[in-house]
Amino acid sequence: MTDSKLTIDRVEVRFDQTLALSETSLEVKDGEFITLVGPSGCGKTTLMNVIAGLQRPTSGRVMMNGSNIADKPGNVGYMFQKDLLIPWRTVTGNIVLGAALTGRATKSDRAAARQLAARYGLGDFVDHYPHALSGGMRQRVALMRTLAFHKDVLLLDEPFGALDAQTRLEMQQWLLEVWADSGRTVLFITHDVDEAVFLADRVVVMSARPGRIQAVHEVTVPRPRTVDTLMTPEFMDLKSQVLSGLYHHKEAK
Amino acid sequence: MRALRMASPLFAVLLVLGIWQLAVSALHAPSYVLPSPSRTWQALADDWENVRTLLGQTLYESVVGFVIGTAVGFLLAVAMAHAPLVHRVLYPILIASQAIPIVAIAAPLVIILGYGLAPKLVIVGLIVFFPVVVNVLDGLSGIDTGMVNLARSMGASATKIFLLVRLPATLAPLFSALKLAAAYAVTGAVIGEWTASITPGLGKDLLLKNSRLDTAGVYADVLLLTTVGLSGFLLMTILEHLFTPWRTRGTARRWLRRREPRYSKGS
Repeated sequence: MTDSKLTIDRVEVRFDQTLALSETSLEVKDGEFITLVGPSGCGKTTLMNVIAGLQRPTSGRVMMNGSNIADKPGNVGYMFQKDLLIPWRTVTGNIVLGAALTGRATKSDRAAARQLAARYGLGDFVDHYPHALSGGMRQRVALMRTLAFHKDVLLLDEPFGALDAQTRLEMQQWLLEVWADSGRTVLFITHDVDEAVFLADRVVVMSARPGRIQAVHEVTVPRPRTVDTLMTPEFMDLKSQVLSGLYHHKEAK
Repeated sequence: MRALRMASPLFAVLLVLGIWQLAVSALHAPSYVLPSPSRTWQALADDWENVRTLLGQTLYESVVGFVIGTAVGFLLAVAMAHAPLVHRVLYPILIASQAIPIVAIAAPLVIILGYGLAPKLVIVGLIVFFPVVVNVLDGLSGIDTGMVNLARSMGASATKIFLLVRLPATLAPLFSALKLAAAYAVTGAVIGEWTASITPGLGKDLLLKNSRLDTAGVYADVLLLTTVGLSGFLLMTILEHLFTPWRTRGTARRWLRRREPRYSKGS
């Protein structure tokens, strides 16, 4: 398949005797937005770490652009729940971190970072240190840092988990805007079913012990999506499907 | 308000001088027991030519010892943070080095190194390196592992991670240690002069004046030594502000910002 961007091919992760992630396969299309939901311990983060090259899989491959990127960091952009902004770098300095860490942050990198910040509402904060920013602003900078790393695939591990509900909704809409602008492929972990359905082209439901993919839901709700989308019957219907999948599975256990 | 805040150390000095003067007048203490501030000042002025060169000597010992001690401390901390084996072997030795009374090892130091500058530098170094090791080690091990993982996920080499993530994290604790060390360095130099020296210095001069019951002269020397220690502390505080601006400021200093347009329209 030519429009497949990322192929997770029978990836399995064991920690000693524990099976953290049982054989998992998933095809991700170019430009697709996939959300992963599931209880803690379902292997979502483990799967992300494998794709990011931070965790070597016990078996299986992660194929991107025709090569196996498992155990090879630096091929995707990874954003964590904590913003992990570097306190001694300004907003600009944090956005160009990827360039600085893998070579040198050039003048044009810094100019591009400032432009990115200006475009997404942080133009007045480019010389600020992270401690002077609000939680929502810090997460924006963290996402800009991930964008400025110039990778086609973005892994976002509960990036808005620590934000309050209002800011979170704003950030979700902003993320959709950024995603539409940039045409990147996104894998997004969340605990929040609303968030999962609102953002995704496909929602991947995972379950624990051992971690595995339980179901994949296509989200047919048209884009662009707004706050009103959250109230449509279509959205409600999908949400209840995902929820019941999560819930009934627990019942059966 | 700002002016008041800036002037408050001056008030502290005046307060101490006031209490000192008050004690002298209230206790009717003879000047060889407790000289008044003005007498002390007089003694300092009278002996200035002599004291000035001695001050230079003591300052030299303090500064060189400080630089060597803190540099060694920093390198040790980095080595210990990188290799757990080095950490396990060195740590007990470091603790032991602080348990040894400095005065007690002065004698063997003199036997090994002679009466010159060397034993004094070793003594100053021994006193100042410890806070640096402990603080830098804390800075290196207290770093958010998430940050290191983030850097790793970007494919950064270990060297880059060290230079851009781990090393700058040590700056804040390093300066806390340097402030302590700057104040201790003078103490180290004086102990060095008392125990391992035939060359002159303020510490030596202080002993000499003490033996002559020149108490005002002793006080003058103490005043000078205190000034040196305070200046060192102050210098480190200024450097701390310059080198760790994110701790006290919301934005980068203007002259530290790269010369670029804030943003150019349409690239």
